[in-house]
Amino acid sequence: MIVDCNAHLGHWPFRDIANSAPEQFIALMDSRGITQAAVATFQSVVYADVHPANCWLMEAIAPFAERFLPQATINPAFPAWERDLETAIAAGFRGLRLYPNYHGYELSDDCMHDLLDAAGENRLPVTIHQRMFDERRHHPRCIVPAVELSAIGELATQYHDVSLLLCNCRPYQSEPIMEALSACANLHVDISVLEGVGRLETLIPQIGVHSIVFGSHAPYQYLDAALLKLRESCLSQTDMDAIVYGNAQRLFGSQTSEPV
Amino acid sequence: MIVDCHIHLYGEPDAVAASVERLLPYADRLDIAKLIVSLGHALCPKPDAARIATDTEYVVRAVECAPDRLEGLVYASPNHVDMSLKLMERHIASGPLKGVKLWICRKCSDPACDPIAAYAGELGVPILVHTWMKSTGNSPGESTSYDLLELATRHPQTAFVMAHSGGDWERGLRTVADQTNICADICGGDPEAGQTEYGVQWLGAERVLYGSDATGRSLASQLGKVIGASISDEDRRLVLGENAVRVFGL
Ligand SMILES: [Zn+2]
Repeated sequence: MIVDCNAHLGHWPFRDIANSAPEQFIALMDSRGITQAAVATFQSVVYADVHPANCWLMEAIAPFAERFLPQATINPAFPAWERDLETAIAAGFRGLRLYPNYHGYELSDDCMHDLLDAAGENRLPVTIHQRMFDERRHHPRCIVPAVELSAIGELATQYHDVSLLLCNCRPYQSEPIMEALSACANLHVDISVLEGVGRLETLIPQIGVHSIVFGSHAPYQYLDAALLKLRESCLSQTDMDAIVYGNAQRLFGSQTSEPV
Repeated sequence: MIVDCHIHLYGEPDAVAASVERLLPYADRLDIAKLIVSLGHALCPKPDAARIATDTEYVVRAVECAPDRLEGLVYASPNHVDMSLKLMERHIASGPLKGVKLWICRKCSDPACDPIAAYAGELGVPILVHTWMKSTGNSPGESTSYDLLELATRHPQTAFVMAHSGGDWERGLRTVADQTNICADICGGDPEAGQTEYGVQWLGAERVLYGSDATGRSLASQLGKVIGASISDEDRRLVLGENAVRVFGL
């Protein structure tokens, strides 16, 4: 059983992405043994009003509901985002996705605190994408710097009842992020952009295996890139289980399917 | 057989054996049979003549540590042509190395690279050329796919490997599509889905090579670009290793 904590469906504006339609992505998951995937939409990253993208997602994945953990994109810097959140909760979303760099706010902004208050009240995990892809590859007129994460430790401490996940982040490049990950039990990071030979293996003792979840950033990235990291590093079965599903089940709630 | 054509070993200059020993178990777990090493124990973007010599000797020592697993390249520099040619003579013509690496001290379109390219052609070995096109800005001596196209057009008898597929791989691969003495390696960027298929589409499977840019990158993240690509098994074998065997004469 593998839960992929970092996936998108839909339309990405900057290039053609294969397997981004739900039925294609399910076929990809099946071919690689992925049980469930936490998904948001590509289009919500660049839409000003993210609400239609959330609605599209729920409708698009309806035929495959048990395979997806739908994540509602929320832009807490956009007027009346609280209504988007209400609708998302009613629609059955299982967590919230944030893209602070694309949506134009900082982790330290007041709106971020408001959002985390609401996430705590509603027991929804919050995933923050530090970047969507390498800035050097961005469209030259649309260069979007990565999210500044130095406030994450403070937030994770203050909102210790909110489960937080950092995606597309190389934590080992920043001492404060490493410290936050090892100190805060509610803070996690995915493996999608870990680099360096055997990086996963060295990261486990540094931040604790319970902080690390399997995330591929598919279909933007090759799913196999993340899967092969599990083979490149020498992992105990206990660590492997925690990374590929145990921690994700804790993060996204107990409703994920039983191991098969 | 899987061949990783783009490896840099980092570590202490006098502890090359330790760096090799550290790397190989990870390659084993991913069934990577051979690894082609270039540059030295640490990245030196503007090396002097002495430095390309010591970096190349570091690579020779690495190859000697595991001759059945590692191959190596001479670190050449258009700023030090005499030393570059001497190193190619000593370590390729009369030694174990299989090609040449050009990095970022000066753009590869610069005529100063011509003697190096010509001699590589004479020796029948390829030149692995760093290329990137960064929307955030290249460093002054950093080659683009257009620079490599110029060099390769001037040296039709020499084989070139365009490292990183030009970084901006859609632009990079299209730039060199018709220049058949240029192959491309897929390494050194995040594993963006579609890159390998794009290389196969524009260059043909026999001109695309697996490489990782480890040990800075992960062997796995880059291998995933080939294992995960929607290409035929025959094409995948070419990209994974058969092309490297042919191009580098392994
Ligand atoms: Zn390199």
